[in-house]
Amino acid sequence: MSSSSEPLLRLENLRTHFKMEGGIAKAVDGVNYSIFPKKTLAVVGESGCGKSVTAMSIMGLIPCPPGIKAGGKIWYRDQDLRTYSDDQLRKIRGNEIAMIFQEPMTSLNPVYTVGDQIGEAVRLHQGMSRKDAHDKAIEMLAKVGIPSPEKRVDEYPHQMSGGMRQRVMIAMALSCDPEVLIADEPTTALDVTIQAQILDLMTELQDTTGASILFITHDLGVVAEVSDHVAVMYAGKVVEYADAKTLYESPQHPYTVGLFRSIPDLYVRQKQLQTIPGVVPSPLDFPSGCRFRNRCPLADGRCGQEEPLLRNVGEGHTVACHAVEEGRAADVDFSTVSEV
Amino acid sequence: MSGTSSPLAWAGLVAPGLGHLLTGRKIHGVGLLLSTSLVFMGAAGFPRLLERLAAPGGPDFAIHPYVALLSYLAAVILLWWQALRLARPPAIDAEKLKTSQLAQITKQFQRNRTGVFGMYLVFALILMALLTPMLAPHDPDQIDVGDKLLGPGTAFLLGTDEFGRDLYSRVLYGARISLSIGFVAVGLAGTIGTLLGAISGYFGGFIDKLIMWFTDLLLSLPRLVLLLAIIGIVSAAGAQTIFLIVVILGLTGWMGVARIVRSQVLSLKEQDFVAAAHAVGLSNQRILLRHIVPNALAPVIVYVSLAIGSTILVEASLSFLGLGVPPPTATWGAIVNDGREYLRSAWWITLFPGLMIVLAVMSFNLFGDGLRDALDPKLRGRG
Amino acid sequence: MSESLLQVNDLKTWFPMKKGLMSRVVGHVKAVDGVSFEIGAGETLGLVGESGCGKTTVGRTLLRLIPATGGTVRFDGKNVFDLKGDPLRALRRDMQIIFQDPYSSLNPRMDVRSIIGEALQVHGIAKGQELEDRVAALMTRVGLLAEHMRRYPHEFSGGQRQRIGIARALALEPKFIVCDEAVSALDVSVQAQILNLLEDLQQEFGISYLFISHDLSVVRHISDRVAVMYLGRIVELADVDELFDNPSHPYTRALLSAIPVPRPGAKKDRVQLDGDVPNPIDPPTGCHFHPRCPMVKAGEGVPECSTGACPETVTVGPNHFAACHLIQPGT
Repeated sequence: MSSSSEPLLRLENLRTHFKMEGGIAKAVDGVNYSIFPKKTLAVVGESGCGKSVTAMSIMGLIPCPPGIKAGGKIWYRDQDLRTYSDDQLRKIRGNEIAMIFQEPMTSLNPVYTVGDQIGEAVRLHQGMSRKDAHDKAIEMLAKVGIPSPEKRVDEYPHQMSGGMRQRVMIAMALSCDPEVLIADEPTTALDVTIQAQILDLMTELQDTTGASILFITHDLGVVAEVSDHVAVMYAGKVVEYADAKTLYESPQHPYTVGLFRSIPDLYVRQKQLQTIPGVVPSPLDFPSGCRFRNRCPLADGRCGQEEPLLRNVGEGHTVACHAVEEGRAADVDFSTVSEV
Repeated sequence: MSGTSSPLAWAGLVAPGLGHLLTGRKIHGVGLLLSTSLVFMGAAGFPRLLERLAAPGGPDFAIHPYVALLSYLAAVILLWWQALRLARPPAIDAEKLKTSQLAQITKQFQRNRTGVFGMYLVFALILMALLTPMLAPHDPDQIDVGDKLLGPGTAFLLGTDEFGRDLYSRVLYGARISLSIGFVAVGLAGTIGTLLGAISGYFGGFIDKLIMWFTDLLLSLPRLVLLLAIIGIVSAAGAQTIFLIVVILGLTGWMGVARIVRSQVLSLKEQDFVAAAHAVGLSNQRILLRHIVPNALAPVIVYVSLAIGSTILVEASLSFLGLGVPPPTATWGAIVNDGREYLRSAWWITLFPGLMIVLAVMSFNLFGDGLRDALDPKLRGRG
Repeated sequence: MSESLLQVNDLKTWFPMKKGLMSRVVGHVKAVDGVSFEIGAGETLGLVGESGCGKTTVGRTLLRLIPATGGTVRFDGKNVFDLKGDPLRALRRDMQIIFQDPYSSLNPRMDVRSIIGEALQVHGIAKGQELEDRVAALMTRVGLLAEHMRRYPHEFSGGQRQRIGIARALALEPKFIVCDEAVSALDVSVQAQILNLLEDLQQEFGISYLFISHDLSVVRHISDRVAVMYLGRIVELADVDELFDNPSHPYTRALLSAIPVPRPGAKKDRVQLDGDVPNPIDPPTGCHFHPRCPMVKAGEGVPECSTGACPETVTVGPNHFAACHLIQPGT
């Protein structure tokens, strides 16, 4: 299932660090992935793995300081967004690359009507008049499935439910017809039945608008539902990248394997869940070599010294693991790892 | 954070603060030097102090020399210990530093340079008040009509007042009264406010309504009018003492604290750790005192540190109106009041205590602002 | 079947809505409105539903953290709502709770020793060195290092903090624990660790759980029986496998089909639910679910759905109950 086309957005060894009390936090430390036109890339990982910071870096929304642009490139249409000035980025942001956030409560401004907020972006980026922007807002609200949009457009965020607000967020993000939509945990705060509505809506809108989606989530079920490709992140790095089907059918990296085993299955009742021992390391103090080695049953001497790089293990399937490369990752048994 | 220090730092052992100043830590240097100079000036007063200690003084002054002596020793130890710590920095336990809450707050506090300076000023003011018997060259109440209304000069550093009393000594002794009134009255107000606010917020319902109704009632009256009314009633009964003034100031200053604590408690009592405490079967009293109040105190500390300044000001206004601490006891406000009639001929009587009031209020405000920033978790170091 | 450990009968928790200067009560939010279930010794009952359905209120009302409006709760033969003073304190030892948010559930100004040990101290169970030993044992049991006893909550990760909360609940050796979204705030790998810990503890001490969660996969994993709530009422209750394999209430079916499955391409026939959960201040007449019910939408409804009374709970099969006008009682 390889993509014939060129990537629309490509991260090359992206690094974003933060200056903190106790030292430098390497929140994003060498991230590589590509987003293809009209495809959805899901980025999964546990909290603190750097998935959200990566997205904020693409948007150029990391305040520096405390943020440090520690290197790497963000290729978007042959241009490196990292070299863009704030003004240049502002033209891209919201217009060509838009974002929706997790918290539909706090990401809308409570003192403006939803129509004003949707209209703001189009007035700014496309120079529409107030009247046209209002009409555009109604059109967008209708598009995201909000009933009686002519009435709803003049309502305030607090008059709407969580699911409605997330629809408004999506309408806002899509109002300028962006090429890339970054969705940071857009359904995490929603109930499952509402989540299902939003996921369906996003897939449907992708078909009609042709936007590429970068979907950040920790929920492996959601990933399977929406994504074409998946990047698994751990401790500031991508450890595995593949198309969704391959990743779910034959995950290679021990961390990915462990992650799958720790989710309870809705259909098959397991006796006991398998768990990955230990905790995610602090970004202030990552282990040397492979960052997963303290929790990995396959770790050996080499893992402590040499950092594994992403290597091809199949078409479009890359894994950063020495054990996989050496062909000794056939059986991962986490019970053999002694708790630190 | 280097383990070694520059040789210049050793200069601090001559005069604590000098080392800080020479190694570039200017605020700490100037701040410490303020207190150090008080200590040096106090050394000159040792003979006077010993004399006082030997002679059985009047009942008023029986305890003051001992307080001064002890504070002097404590200040010396503290100042030179600071100097030594700069010269030979102790090994810093990084782990401890990261985790201790106090260490984090200290660190955050030190970022605010004006706050740190305010802290040194407050420290110097308190030290000055404590060391008064050693610093003051004269008895503040000693009348000598021959020396009346002398300008600042060598004989009397800041001049004398209408009764020939040494203004410098009076301002120093005034610091004791004014500062203690500030501290005690605010301490009282803080305690009352915390208790009422906590009860009001925690129990809610009728109790809450009653307490808040009373609080709003008191808040709606201008404080000075309230004070004048109470003092009028009480002094009609013939009682007007420092103690009374302190109590009255305390009783009229708790409303702000009560409101702050109440709003804190309202949000704290909805937190799960309070539900957990209920589930475990703890009594209301224990939940309130052990689980809720300690978590509500940070803004109270800030409020109180700011209120000390304003209370000193209120006391000064009362004294200025002649309704404060009865004469001849020196308080800053009372001295300003004494000088009122001589504003043209003897400006120094009003100016110097007035400056001290400004300095004290400013110090407490700077310190309080610094504390507020340090105790506000939203401003604390990212991460 | 022997008598259950916990019997909840027609539990109601209404919150008054006040308005105006005189705080006149103008109505009630019926957060819990007639809920009945039983939990046996050593059993786990899962309680699922969307936000605002009242599941958290049920847990807190059982523990008397929120006053009940009506109904009875019998625990170990005692009527929980009648107890006062010492008997109530004694009951507190047997019923505990684990919270969702590992941050707000621990007092930030107390060290771990005090957090875990306070209950033992207050109930006069242990003090001094013995207290310390027991806290150490509890910490070890839940997978924490006993030497971290003097640390404060902010020095621990989310998962570790949840373990502290579990140790606190275990300290009094309860027979029953309400797990209120106990793993919802945790990352999947940590969530699995905590789920395993809860299961181990149940095996070891025979504790009963009321496991409240919105995550159906987790509920399926840990529960023996499951109750599904919608707008303050239980709409379906059955053994876990029966409920997941053979759901009968339209809401349960929609809920199950809405869960994303971690298998790409496993597109199933989703029962799409339109709209949001209605406001509990003003619930729909008839069956609370009828405005969103796919069966009513498909024209299969009966007039009672929208205008009749709230549907009665009927027996669908062995140990399987549902409340829907469209379900005929089975055997």
